[in-house]
Amino acid sequence: MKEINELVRKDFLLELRQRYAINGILLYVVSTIFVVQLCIGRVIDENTWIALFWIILLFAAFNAVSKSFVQESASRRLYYYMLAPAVSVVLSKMIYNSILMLILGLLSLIVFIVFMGFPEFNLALFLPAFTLGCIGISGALTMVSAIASRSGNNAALMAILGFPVVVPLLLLLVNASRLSLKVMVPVSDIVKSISGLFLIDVVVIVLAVILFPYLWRD
Amino acid sequence: MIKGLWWKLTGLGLILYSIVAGQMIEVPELPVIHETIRNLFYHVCMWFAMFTMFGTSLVYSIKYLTGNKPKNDIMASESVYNGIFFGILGLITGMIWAKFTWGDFWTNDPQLNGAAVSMMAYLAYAVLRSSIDEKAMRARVSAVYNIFAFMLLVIFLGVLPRLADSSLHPGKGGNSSTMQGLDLTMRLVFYPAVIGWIIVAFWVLQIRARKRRLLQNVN
Amino acid sequence: MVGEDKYLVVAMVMGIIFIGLGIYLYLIDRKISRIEQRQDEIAGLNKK
Repeated sequence: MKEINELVRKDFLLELRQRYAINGILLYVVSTIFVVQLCIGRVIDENTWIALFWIILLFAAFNAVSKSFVQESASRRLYYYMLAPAVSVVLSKMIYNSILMLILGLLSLIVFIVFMGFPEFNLALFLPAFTLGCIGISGALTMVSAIASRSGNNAALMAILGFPVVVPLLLLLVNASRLSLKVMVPVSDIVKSISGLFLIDVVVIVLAVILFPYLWRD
Repeated sequence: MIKGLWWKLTGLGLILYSIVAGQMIEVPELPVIHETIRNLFYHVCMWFAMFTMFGTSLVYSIKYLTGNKPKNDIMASESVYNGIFFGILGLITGMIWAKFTWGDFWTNDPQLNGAAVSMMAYLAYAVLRSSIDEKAMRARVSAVYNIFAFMLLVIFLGVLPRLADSSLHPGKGGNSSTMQGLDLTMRLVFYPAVIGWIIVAFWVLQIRARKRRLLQNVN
Repeated sequence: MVGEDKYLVVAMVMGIIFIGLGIYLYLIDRKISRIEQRQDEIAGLNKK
């Protein structure tokens, strides 16, 4: 528990010093949304809003998470290896990436609302789905980046391996967002889509905790 | 001369029986599908064979991670390649079937999209394997990814189509199941066909793995 | 039923193609068995 805390704190300190992820990715999100606004104008229908929002957030996540294991050099990996058990390394990375992803998601949501307006979402469904989605995407991509960092050309591999892994989450997220547009959503539907997302998150995290030690040792 | 000749010939015999009987039997008259229902004996068997192959590779991947034996890595990777082969056959037979019943080679159906994405996951497995040079590392990393890929396969073909609102595939998303409409004569052809294809899939897997082992010994 | 023989023709053609594939598999299996035997013999000789 203590190691996890320390590792998360260290990642945040690094991020605060460099401000690489936050600034770069926010710039990316803003410019993408701006280009979209130039192309199709401010008023777009809800389905397009949902699709654009999740696609832009997905690519932002790829950029933010893909560096999480790549930036660690071999010697630093050895250092961690001696310092902390593998499980706490992967959990700390997942926690850090989830928090980063939530911050990025909220910021891009604000940018999106400014440039594109906000559809009438049912917040009781949209916000939990958004949170679970951010956690799931960052968890899955953390694991994928750990896999990709073990091979030579990891930028290309990250995209190839990551795409199939995030598609089920993305599908569920788009479905949940669409559902939250309806005026009267039955409670059973809300529970169904939230529990689907929750299930995938749990599976991803459990698999990562079980499998990461095999990736970590040399 | 050949080891286990009896089960290999049984597999071939079952498939041959299903091919001949699948064309000769009387099929129930159904709307839209009509006579193309006979494709059931070929198309569905491909997916069953693919599922078995990917399941086998999952078992061998877990075995590899617990024991680190190179032989298990050979089995895991070869059964993934074999499963990809059967998956592509399943996609092709399905696309031909879709053209004649739904009017298009590709429709926006959760089952179809799921199959496509999970095939992509397994193709990514092949790319991952080719991008790592060191043998032990390649085996370990690809075994880990393989377990993820199987989870995706289960989610895509087992969970998401059932959650979806509408699906053209029978048995999913509130559509009536053909399994209930399958009469006795069709069952008598369908089950042997599935068993036969699975047996032949294992035979092909065995040949591939033995070939890999021979090549390794030569090197 | 109309075109009853057409089904027979289709079944024959598919059956013949499949028998060809089966023979191909059988031949490969035999070849590999032979090479495996030879490799085992060589390994046995090397041990001596």
